[in-house]
Amino acid sequence: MIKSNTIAAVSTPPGRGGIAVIRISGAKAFHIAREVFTCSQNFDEIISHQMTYGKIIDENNKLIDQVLLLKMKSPRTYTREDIIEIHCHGGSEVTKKILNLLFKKGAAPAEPGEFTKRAFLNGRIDLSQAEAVMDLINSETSKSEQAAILQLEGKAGKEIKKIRKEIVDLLSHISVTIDYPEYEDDAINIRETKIKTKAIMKELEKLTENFETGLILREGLNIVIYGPPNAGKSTLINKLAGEEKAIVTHIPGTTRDIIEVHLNMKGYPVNLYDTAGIRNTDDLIENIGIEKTKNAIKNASLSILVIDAAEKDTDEIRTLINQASVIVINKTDLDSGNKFNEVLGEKDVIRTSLINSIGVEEIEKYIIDYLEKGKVEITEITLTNQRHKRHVDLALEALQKVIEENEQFLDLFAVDLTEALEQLSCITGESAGEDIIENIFKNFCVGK
Amino acid sequence: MEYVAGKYDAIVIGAGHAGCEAALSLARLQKKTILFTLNNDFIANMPCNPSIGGTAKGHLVREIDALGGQMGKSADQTLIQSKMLNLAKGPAVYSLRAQIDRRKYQQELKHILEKQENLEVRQAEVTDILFENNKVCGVKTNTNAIYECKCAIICTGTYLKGRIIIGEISYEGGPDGLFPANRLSESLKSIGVEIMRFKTGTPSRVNKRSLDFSKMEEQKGDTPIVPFSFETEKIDINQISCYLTYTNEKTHQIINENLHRSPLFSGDIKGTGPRYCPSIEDKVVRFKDKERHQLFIEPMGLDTEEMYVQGMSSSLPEEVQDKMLKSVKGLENVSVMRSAYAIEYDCFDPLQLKKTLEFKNFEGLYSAGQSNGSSGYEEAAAQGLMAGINASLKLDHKEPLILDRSEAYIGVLIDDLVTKGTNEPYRMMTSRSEYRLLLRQDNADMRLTEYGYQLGLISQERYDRFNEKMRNIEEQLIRLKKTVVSPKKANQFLAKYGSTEVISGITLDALLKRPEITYQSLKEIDEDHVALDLFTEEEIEISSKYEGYMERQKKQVKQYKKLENYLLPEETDYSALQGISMEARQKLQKIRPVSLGQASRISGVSPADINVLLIHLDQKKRENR
Repeated sequence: MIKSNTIAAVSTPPGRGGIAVIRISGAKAFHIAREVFTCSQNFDEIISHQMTYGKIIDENNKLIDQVLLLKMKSPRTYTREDIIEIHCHGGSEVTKKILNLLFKKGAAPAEPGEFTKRAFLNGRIDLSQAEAVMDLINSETSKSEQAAILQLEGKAGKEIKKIRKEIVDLLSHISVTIDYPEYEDDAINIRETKIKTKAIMKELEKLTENFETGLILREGLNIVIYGPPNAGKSTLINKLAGEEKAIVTHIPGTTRDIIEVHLNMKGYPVNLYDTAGIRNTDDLIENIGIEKTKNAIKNASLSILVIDAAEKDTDEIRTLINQASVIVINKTDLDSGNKFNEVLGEKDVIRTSLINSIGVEEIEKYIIDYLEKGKVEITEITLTNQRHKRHVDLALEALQKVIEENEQFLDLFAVDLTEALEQLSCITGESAGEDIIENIFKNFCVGK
Repeated sequence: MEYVAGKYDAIVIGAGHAGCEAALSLARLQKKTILFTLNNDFIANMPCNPSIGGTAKGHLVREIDALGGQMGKSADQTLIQSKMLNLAKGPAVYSLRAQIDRRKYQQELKHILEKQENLEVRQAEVTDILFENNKVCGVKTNTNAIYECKCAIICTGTYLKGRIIIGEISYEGGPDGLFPANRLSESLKSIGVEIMRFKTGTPSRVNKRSLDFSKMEEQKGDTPIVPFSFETEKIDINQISCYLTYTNEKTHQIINENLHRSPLFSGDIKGTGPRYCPSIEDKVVRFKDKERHQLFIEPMGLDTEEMYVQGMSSSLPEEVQDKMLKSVKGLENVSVMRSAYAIEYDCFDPLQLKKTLEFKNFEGLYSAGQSNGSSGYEEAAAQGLMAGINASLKLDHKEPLILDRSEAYIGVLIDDLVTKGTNEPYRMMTSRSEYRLLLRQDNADMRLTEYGYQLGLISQERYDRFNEKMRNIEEQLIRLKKTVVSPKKANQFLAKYGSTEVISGITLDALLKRPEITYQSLKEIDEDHVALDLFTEEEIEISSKYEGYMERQKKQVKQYKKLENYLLPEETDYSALQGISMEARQKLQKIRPVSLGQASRISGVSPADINVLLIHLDQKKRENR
């Protein structure tokens, strides 16, 4: 429709590629890019239509990716609006993170065919191509509808529809209370509204929790491998990657590198992160590397701690053990490592001698088991579409406002509930208004 | 033999709530007008409940008043009880409702019509509309009189081919024992107007002397009475009470045992009834778990013992109704004065109308009120007023007055009817409005008085007073925002009202935003306090307290207006549009929306269709360039 807002989307096809391109178009494209991109020169001085090397930084000044950025000033662009293209590392979490950051900074998810539609409306594409543009919108719409239907037929779709219906019910209840004040038996009050909203939020949050699991199937399981220096982390990576065809991407950090290895384990995409060795140090530079490792642990689905069986049982080691999903006690050919037994408690432990390839299969099996277990969860309830996730997040924001709202009038609570309903309606493609009125007369016995 | 009886600018057919407003606005805008009614003694009749206003309906009355209509003023003159509903639920949904002395209201309206310059009132049945090249040129009555005109507004309510149903009995008839109008809808059908068949109903009327109010809950009115009209200064009357009682298991048993005799269930009634006015048998069948349903006993007026039993609408046979009523607490000895009945009637599919309420295919012919598939006195009056105004503007070759969804409930009402159509009598509800925090009953004058004044329906004196109010509100809001109070002074004040303390200085506006603080109470720490009338003070309070919410809605309105302002060329041939679904093409071709916004509200038109439409239009524009 007629929109003057700024849109963003990944322009390269979904799937694993070396490089992904994220495109931003609209009046605020430069403004948004300026907020997330740093490079050696002033943003405004970047020459139009020239690639610039730099970094994408999030709100906490954390590096997301090193990228090439293409700034294109209107009107000499595809949409005849200001355009930014971000060429980042493909496939992995990176594109998702960058896109989310752009949404947070004010970009809106692009509708199907929207770049081309804008190109047409702004006179970039000539008349003879109009037909093709319409076909494109139709086909992209039907494609995305198909995708949406596929998803909506799954349990996730049913779940969203169910939650949406609960909001409709709640809003109809508020509407009845307002439109039929003489029917006090059927009225709902603010306290009850908040309780119901809280319950709805819980269900929605469950969906977003699963979003991460859902992504694993598409974008790969993130496994971080960490531990003290020289425990055998690199050996483990090499053994795991050994027979596989691995793509190795080096993302150089400020001080220490995190090495990212993509491989395929029995058909599942897996991303291994080899981190800097963790140890207590006063060295500032090394500390930064360690900080990065800690973040990597936080963001990974699986964290594998590798320790030398001969390592001493110290407080530091105990902290590391606590963060791990599974502990690999390496070099057991030299030391039993039994001194850790008590500390390990219930934790999963695999004893290895990696250099002799002992225990590698067991680790592989552990990872596959984790994935298979995850797969079960995923078929249960999964949100995998990033646009859907965005709408769910916005719905949650609106519902949170309902909970926090300190107003004394019921009517005002309908405002944020309606916002949440509209966000979910964007996913299910249902219209909001009619539903509520339908629902009032179905569920409440009111009227003279 | 036919004869020409006169020549008029405008003819209004039917003198119910739509017809009265239409005729008055035309005449007040200097159009020579004649108003036809089947019976002079039933002008502005209330054949159903004796009340005006209520949720969303009260808003409509205020809007009618702000545009210079009659309903609010006459309701103020004849009300016998008044209530402001929803006071605990938020200022946007405060709703005024009044019990009306039905007979007085009729007399009041009849006399106002009779006294109105440029207006004639004539008792006659209009049987045909006369056309010249699809343009209205006159009407014919049952007495073969021809009245020539430039435009005609149909306000026939539930009279067209009306049929009354009471149990197994049914007969041709209009409401309240009046004649139906049998010929007009046939003649319109023959020229291609699409007719729908709707159904509605009304409960029994009973004699007050036969009721035992000691077994019921008394429902008193509010004091002081808040008037509907912004022109009414004060209403000082002794209010009459309503009473609340309930149906019970026995009532439900009687209904269940006699269901087979209900025409609704036997299939004898084919018309579509309103879901929001379910008959008592409908309620009992659909909500089996409900042990009781409430009934309000409302007075019909001061000079009568007749009372209305709200909640007991039914089309069961008379003797079953009698049993049902007698099973209710307080009604054991009831003496029924009129039976409940269902009525079926012809009305027009409103999708045939423009937003001015003129028929798309018949120039100069308008329809307003229940004949458009709506329900309710207020909905009818609002449409009558808008049809009258727009017919008058057209006669003057001026641009029409179209209120949009962000300006008025009237805008929502008409847009819904002509864009979405309706498959049951359409009732106004606050939930139908997207921007209800902006469309409040308190600010109806601020939204619409300017239009009323520009049209010539609002007097200079009222307009001057209105402008003074606007000025006062603006001045005070600015001053409250600017005036800072020291924490010491503020905390003393806040403690008194149980509000939390502040650490630094605070503006009066910020204080007013707190729920515990009113404009009145601010007086205690505001040295420059200005005492204003109640309406103005209320407005200042609401504007300050809900500023944040209103700003949010204003932003949404901006988005909405973008699509509303994207106009669709009238000559567009939607049936030839490629890339749009067949259903959407047919709907667009039939409804012919004026804007992209209106198109997007048509059911069956998807966002993808709108996108394609947008591209087509752009293509067209470029071709023409």
